[in-house]
Amino acid sequence: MLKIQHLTKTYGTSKAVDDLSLEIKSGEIFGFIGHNGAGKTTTIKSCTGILNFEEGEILIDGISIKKNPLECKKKLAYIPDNPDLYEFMSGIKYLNFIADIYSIPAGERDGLIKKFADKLELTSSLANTISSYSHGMKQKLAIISAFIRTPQILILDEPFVGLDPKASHTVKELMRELCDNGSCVFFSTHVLEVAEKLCDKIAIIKSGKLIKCGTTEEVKGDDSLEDVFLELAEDNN
Amino acid sequence: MFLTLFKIRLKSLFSGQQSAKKKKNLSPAIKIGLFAFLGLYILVIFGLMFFGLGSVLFSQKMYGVYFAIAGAISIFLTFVGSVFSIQSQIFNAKDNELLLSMPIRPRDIMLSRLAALVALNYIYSAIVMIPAFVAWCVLGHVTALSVVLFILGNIVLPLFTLAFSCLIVWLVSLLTSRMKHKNLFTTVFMLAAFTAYMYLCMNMSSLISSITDKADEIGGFLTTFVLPLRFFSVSCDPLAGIGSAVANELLLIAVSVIPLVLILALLSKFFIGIATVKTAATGKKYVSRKLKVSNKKLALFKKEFSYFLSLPMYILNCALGALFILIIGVLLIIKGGDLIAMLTADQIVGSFLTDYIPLALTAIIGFCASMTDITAPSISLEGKTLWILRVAPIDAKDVFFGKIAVNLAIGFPPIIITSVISIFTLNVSPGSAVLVMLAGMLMQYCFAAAGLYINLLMPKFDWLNETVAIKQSMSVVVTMFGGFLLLGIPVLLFFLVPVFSALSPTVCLILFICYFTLLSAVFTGLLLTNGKKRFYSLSN
Repeated sequence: MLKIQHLTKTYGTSKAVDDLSLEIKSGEIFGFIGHNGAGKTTTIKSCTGILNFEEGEILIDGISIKKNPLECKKKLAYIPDNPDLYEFMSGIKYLNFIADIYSIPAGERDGLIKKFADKLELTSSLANTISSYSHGMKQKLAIISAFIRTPQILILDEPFVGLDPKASHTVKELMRELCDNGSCVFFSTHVLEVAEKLCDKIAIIKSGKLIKCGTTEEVKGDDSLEDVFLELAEDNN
Repeated sequence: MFLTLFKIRLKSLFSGQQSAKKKKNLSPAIKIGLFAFLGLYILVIFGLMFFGLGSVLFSQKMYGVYFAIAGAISIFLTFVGSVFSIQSQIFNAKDNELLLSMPIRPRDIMLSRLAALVALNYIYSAIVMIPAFVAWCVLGHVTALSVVLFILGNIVLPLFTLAFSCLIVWLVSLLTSRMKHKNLFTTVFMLAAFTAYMYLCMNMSSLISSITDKADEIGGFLTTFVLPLRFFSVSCDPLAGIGSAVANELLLIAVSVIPLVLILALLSKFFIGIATVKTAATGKKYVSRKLKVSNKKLALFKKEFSYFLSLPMYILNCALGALFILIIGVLLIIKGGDLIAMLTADQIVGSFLTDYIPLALTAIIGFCASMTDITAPSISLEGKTLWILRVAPIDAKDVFFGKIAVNLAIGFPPIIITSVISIFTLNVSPGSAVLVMLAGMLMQYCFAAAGLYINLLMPKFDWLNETVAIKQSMSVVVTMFGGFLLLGIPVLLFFLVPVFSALSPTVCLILFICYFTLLSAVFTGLLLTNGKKRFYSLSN
């Protein structure tokens, strides 16, 4: 579903991502972990078409993001770490705008918005302008706007920041449900316990390079993911 | 603690509202030079005014009237200058919550804020009072006591203005925080204020003459209804008795300082509420309704239009041209007949001149259309939300369509209306009116496309406040002046090249249309080629 092949992204003279290759298959929840500045957000933004990259290829369902970006973007949904949304719109207007952009049929959109807004308990705030929302509410709105599209690939950058425990739990359930229906999820996180419990596969990145990748069991072995992560981070120093 | 907070406040007042990264600053020498030039220019303007006023009033020993008028102008300038700063420095300051979380008394926070605003007020006041003082010294009778009391008066008068400004801003904030259409109110208010400002500027010389002619009446009015001005005018009057002057000075100090102390106490007491009030609309009950479905282009247009209407500063800065064209239409209705009569007064030249009315009207409409540059900051205004458009499966040309469509939706109607009005008021033939309308609309499209392309070349994403993206945007300046230049080329050709000036007005108009059709095609082509590439490579 999502194939990253020898991705290299350079800022000036420094490589933010160096020859990274990953594959996320249908039905998988794939966790992407690394220290601050490791290259997680750069990788994610390259997958979503926000950043251009110098070397390598990113294929979404076999389609190159470089050669056919519009087709790729139809299949994916992205939620950034900082949900900067249109503050002048109300929540419902923003969701309707997204539904228009992604051509969600009229008959389905009301139901989808209601379903996900109810699950994330944001329905009562949908009439208010986004400028009045807290960070967590904006995050929820961004999540709803992603799920209403029923994306084939859901890419999230630190999705649990700012979410209350109930909302976090709901989002995890929604991610699992999405993958059970044939989609895949690729997300970065600093919360290793979440990655350990939720992810089918995990990749650890350090200074732009992939240092470990595999199923959660393969990556953590008998230790906790935190111990593995800290050990790997030290080894590579 | 107070000094630290005061320094931070002063810095924030005088520095641009930009993020720290990618700051390309002018050298300090150039900055100082520019400010000094601007300051000198303003001082000269006021100097000329006060010399004119003084030469009339001092000869009639009307010193009180002179100081009342000087004080009134100072209060007015200080009020206008500080009222927006009060909003951003006290009520909407971004560090309110941070400071409240620290072991700092609200009173100290408020005191530092007010002290910084007082410093700002002194600058505004000095712009008026220094020339007033110089004119007084040169033309009038000066005593040591009156000079001392003048200086003291100028130390306390801005305190009165600050207290008054704070009260007004607080009341307006309370009023508008409960308003449903706060932005509409703000836009209408700012447009009214701008219209008043333009009226003042355009009639400055006649206003100054009026002030000079009716100085006695004006002075009387001011000293009757504005208490601080009464006390200020008497205390500075060199012909007033010592006892009277000193007594009035003390009264001036009382009416200036006491309100400010009260305001400080009130603001400190309610500071937490002020700092944490949510100004955005909350508490609206969501009622599920069938959602309106739009295609991508319409969705993007609606989004751009909503954004435009949500920012009064955007409307005021980038849609003024459309307003001017409407005003021209209204003026044609009121004064169109007089204009025709004036042009046709000479029977020989009259018909010749009236033949060129459509051409002149086209040039005027074009000049105004270049000031309707809504697209020029539109890419910059995406700011941190750019990712939404970059991730969405939409072609860049659809994004461009949305932005240009808003520019045309605002720009076209006044052009159409004014062109139609010209048929009835300027005796323009319907055929010529259609050509004027077509030319106007082509020019508007051309400037909209150009503005968008220029903003793609020069985007500015490092802003913390939309006003910076709009007012400090190079693309807005380049688009406006570029528009003047593009318009100026055919105008100059017409006047300087005999071949063109020999052509009939209708042919000139058709050539004008061809010229702008070509330019529109060029800018459209640039947008669809290099513009799209630029858009896809944007990141903030």
